[in-house]
This record gives sequence, structure tokens and C-alpha cells, in this order.
Amino acid sequence: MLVIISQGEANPSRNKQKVIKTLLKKTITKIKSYLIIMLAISILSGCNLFRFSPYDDDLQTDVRNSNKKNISKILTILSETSTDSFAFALISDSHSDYDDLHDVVKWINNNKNIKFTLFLGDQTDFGLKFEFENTLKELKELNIPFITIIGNHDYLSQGKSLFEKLYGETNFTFSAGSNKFICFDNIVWENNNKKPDFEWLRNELNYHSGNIFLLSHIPEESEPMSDYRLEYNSLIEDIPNLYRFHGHTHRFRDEWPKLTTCEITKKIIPVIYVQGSAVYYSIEECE
Amino acid sequence: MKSMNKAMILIIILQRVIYADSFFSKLIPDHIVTQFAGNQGIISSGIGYSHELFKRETNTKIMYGFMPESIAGTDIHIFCLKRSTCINEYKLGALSVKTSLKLSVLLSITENTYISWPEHFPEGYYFPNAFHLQPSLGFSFNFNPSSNINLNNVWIYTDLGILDMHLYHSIKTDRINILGNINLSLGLVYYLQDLYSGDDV
Repeated sequence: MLVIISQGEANPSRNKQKVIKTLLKKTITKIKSYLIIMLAISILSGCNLFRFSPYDDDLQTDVRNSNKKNISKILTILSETSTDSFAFALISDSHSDYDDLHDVVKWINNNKNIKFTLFLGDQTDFGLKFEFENTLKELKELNIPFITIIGNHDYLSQGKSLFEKLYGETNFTFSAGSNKFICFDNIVWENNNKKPDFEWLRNELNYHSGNIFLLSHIPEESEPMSDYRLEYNSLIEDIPNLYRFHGHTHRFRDEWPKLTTCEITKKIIPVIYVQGSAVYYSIEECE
Repeated sequence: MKSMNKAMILIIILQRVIYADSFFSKLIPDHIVTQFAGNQGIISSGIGYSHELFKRETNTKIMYGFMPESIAGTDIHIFCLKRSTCINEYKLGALSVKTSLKLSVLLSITENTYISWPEHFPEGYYFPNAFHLQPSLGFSFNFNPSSNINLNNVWIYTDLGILDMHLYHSIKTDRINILGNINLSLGLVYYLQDLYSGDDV
């Protein structure tokens, strides 16, 4: 400062400029520090800022065992209308395409004849908790109950245990009137190359006289099922009134009574109609 | 107490001997670091090297963090390589502030997470899912109010980071808010440099 004053005596206008520059610099520095402090406070005041690992299972949602709760809701809805005459939608493979899932959810909400939705697996890319949370956020916007089954991508990392926390068991069944829904976990490679629980499936397929809807993520013609194709086919070949729904391939295939859904981005939604023992379907395009 | 002093003297002698050799001196870190959160486990610690790149102070840190099964559902081991470049530095009285751009490479060893996938997967079926990148903006602070206590070597820092997948999702979709995916970490750096150069710490 002394130097500036002594120089100022020699050239007053230069001195003024220097003083102004110094003041400006100091002010900018102060503003910067205030901004940093403000930013730090505003960020710290938010929640969920400290993240420890994308692989942990610390879910930021209270939703637990949602499939069981939604099955109860489905049964309540159907008991108010009819347990033998209803429609449901099939979706799958949304991965991280949340915009498209959002559009599909809106479309389903606008179709009042659809009573519930079945999600046929692969709601994540890498089975990470924030992927499950993001998908769940979209699915929760459905005005109707939804049931989800596990996909191969959902198995990665801690995906299986996250799925079990959020949705419940990966092999489960439920019945609506004379219609039985069998949700079968047939993931092989991502499940340490383990054989699917065909014994459980055999027991569930037997002794049911009404319609059976078998939902599993991977269709038997896909590569992961190659070692078990014959066993699976032998289980299902003589079952009457069996309808099978799959995801995984990202390509829509109509082999009625078997349907393979496509990825959510294509926005093609099979809607299944049940009327007594008759089951038929329509393929809807949502735009 | 005497044995402690002897041990300290031995460590200092060893450090000076190693430091005298130019090859080994490059292997000796000039700072140690410990961090809370930031997708590196609850607490991660490691060593760091400072150097100058394009006339800017640059740091490379190698860190290890851990999350036990009781907290994370499964054991998670996290190895991190963090590179930072100082973009701005200024003083406010006794407070020094550095702003840095950082990039971390995170390798997590945990359940169903791979660098190379097991043999039963066809080649290229999945990308390796054990690696993540995390860019961040860091603010480091050093406060040295008194000439009696030298705190020049102790810096605390906070990083505002975003994981690659969060960033990707935020860009890809309107349904994800980028601000909701920013994570915060807090850390402490202790510079050892003066110990080697013989200056008082």
C-alpha cells in the first residue's frame, strides 16, 4: 500500500487506477468466498448428499415387498368388478429409459379397462440401487397395481437382494378367480450359472384347472436357457390353458399363446384380456 | 517413550536415505489423505503425489475404501485413483482456498461385479461393471491463524462429484434431475513434503 502511495505522488491517475483494481480484486475475492460458503450451506442443507458406494443396498425409499401388497390390491379391484373378466398390460426391459417408461405409464393410466400391469424384468442396467429407485419412481405413478418379476440385468451387483427388498421373492404365484399367475425366476448366468428351480415350477404348474399365466424374463429360445430348454419344454408341453409371457430379447414376438415383449423404447404394449376361460390379446402402440 | 523417540529417529533417517536416492524419492508420497463418503466407502485413505502440469498444481491420489456387509449388505472394497488439477487459488487473511477439478477412477470389488466376466458369459455380453468414473469440483481449505502453530501442511477439502452413471442418466432423460445426483465428500490432506526437505513442520 505504501508503494502505491509513493508511486501515486509521481502519477496520481495511475495510482487511482491501481487502488480501484486492488479494491475490485478484494471485492471479487470476498464475493467468491461468500459464494462458496453459500453453495456449501445450500448443498449441505439438502439430504442424501453423502454417498458411500453405488453398490450398497441402502435404499432411499420406504417401499418394501411391493408385489405382495399389489397382489392384494389387484384382488380387491377384481373382487369389486369381476375376477373372471379383466385386462392387464405387459411391459418389460425399461432399463434406464425413464422417459419412455413415463410415457408408457401415462398411456396405461389413460386406459381405464386395464386393471393391473405386469413388468417382465430388466428394470435396471446394472442392478444398482439408484436404478431400482428411478424405475420405482416411474412405476409408482401408475394408478393401478403393478407386479414385477426379476430380469437378468436386475441380478447384477446386489440386484437380487435389492429386488427382494423392494418387491419380495423372485419365484411367486397369485390367483385371481380361476386364473393363476406363476412368476418364475429363470435367470441362469447372472445367478452364478445356477439351474432355475424347475421343481418349484413343476409343482406350481400341476393341479390347476383354469388359465395359467407363466411369466419369466428369459424365453426358452434365448441362449441363457440353452442348457435347460428341453427340461423346461417337457414341463410345459402338456399343460392346458397355458399362456406364457417373456421379455429379454428386446424384440416383440407373437407366438400365441406365448408373447415376448419388446423393450420399453418401442412403446408397443400387449394388453391381455381374460373373459372366463377365454383369453385374447391386442397389441397397442403408445405415442 | 525413549523407544518411541528411537523409532521416530529411525523413520526420519530411513526417509532421508530413501529421499537421497532420486529413483526412490519419486515413489515416496508427498501427502497422505483420508476421505469421508464420495462413493469411496464410508472412510477411504491413501497416499498422494503432487506435481506440476502445464504450470498448474496437480495431484494424483491412490486410495482404498471399504464398506462392511453390516452396512452395505455385502462387503465392498473400493480402490480409487483420483487426479486433481488446481484451477484457482486465493487467500483470505489466514484462510487459503484452492479450487480444483478432479477425476476419479473407482474400482469396486463386490458381489456380481466384474472387471472380466466369468467364462459362462459370451464375450462382450456385458460391459465390465466394476469401474466407474467420477468427475468432481473440489474446494480445499487451509487455515493458519497463528505463527506459533504451523498448520500449513494440513488441508481440509470438500468435493462435489457426480458418478458417471448419474451423469449419463441426467443427460439421457428429463426424468432425472442432475442436482439430485450430486454427491458430497469431506477429506483431510496432510502434506509430508517439509519432513523430507528438512523444514520444520
